[in-house]
Amino acid sequence: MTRKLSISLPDDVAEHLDHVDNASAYIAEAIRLRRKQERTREFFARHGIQITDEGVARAGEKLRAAEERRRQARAA
Amino acid sequence: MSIRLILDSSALLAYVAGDVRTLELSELIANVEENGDICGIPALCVVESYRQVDADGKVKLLELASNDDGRTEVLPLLAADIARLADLLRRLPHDQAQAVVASEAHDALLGTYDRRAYADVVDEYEILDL
Repeated sequence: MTRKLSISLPDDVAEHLDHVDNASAYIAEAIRLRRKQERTREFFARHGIQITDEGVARAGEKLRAAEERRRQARAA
Repeated sequence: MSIRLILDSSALLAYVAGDVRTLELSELIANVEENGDICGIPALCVVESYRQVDADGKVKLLELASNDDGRTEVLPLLAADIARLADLLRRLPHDQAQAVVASEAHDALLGTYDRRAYADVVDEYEILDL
């Protein structure tokens, strides 16, 4: 099932969608990902764990740095 | 989606500990998910952690392991893993051995608070110090 909606978007977002093959599918995927992220935050909050955007970003930087070290070590 | 990071028993025990490590691990799991990937939890690590924690910890652990949203995935022990696992058991307990096997199988970093445990069997750059 699908519904046809008329929505307003900021210029930069609309311009981005101009270059996407299937804007509807693109938006649907983005919203599903957002909902998944929200459910993850709700899951942790239920256990009294208040994660923050800054903490999540920091964790990602640490992970990416470790992955980069591994990539370089393997290439050496 | 792919398994991007393996969490061993030390990570799972830290997750249920209720201290700052719990928050840090939760943020790491969230980051992996937000990038479209999954944290893998070897089944034997879940079992070993479950054995060690109290009733509240058991609930938290099982909820983390059994979520339907795909932020974590319990990794089974497969027939293809047996030979490598058996080889590793000469130097590691069962849970850590499966963590290594999973790390190798998924080409994913092994996240642990116990780097030294793996020093003889894993290259240092394959470890993510939590």
